[in-house]
Amino acid sequence: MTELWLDPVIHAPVRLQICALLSATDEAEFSVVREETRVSDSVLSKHIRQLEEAGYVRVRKATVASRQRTWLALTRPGSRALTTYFRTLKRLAAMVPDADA
Amino acid sequence: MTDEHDYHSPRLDARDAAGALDVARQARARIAARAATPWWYPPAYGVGVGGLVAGLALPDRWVPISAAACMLLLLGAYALWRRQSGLHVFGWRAGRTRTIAVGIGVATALAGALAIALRDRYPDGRGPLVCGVLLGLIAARASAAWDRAWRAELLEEPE
Repeated sequence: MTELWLDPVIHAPVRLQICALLSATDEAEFSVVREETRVSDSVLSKHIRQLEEAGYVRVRKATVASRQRTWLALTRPGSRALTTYFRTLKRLAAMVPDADA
Repeated sequence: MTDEHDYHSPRLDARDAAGALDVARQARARIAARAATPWWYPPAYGVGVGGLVAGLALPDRWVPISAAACMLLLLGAYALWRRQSGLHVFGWRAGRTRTIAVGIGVATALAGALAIALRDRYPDGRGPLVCGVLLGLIAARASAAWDRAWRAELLEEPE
């Protein structure tokens, strides 16, 4: 165990995947994120809501050809939080040899 | 690393940290795999960008019409890719791709300026046509290079 702090909003595996996916693009459709995280609509919605409440994800709804599409994007604070999170993980991961010793 | 446990107690050891990084790495790699632009995109982009300059070979009143048609082609190609992929990525995004985007902008400006100069010199329009064709070839290759650079970035260590 270590005392390094990790953002609990990002840290859950599904939310980490969502943030990592969104960090690769400017926007991604809800259905793409659902396919790539392999979770149900309701589970994904729950995690998106948590990220949205933290100000990390922006949700935009757009109607194209009478079909509503939901687009997700990582906000600037979300992007900063993810960068900090990755830095902390890398510091932790660098300790692997010690952990094995 | 369970969902509930980690949400309430975000602490983990080195092995878990490496695992979490791997989760993020794999997520980005999956986006890279599904985001490959289709074969038709670079040629369509080349025709659109090259056409903007080649259109200067046309009589004056046709120039804005050809420019509008090229813009529609560019926007339409991007909209189709976005619809197919479910992703939206700004061409001007930060990273290695920015250099390529700047290169396309500079090449377009230079080709446009040269085409205007040649248009006055050769009224038959071959000057802008040649500039447009060359720019189109460059833009098509640059579009493919942009795509490769972007996807390569996604496969690197997340930052």
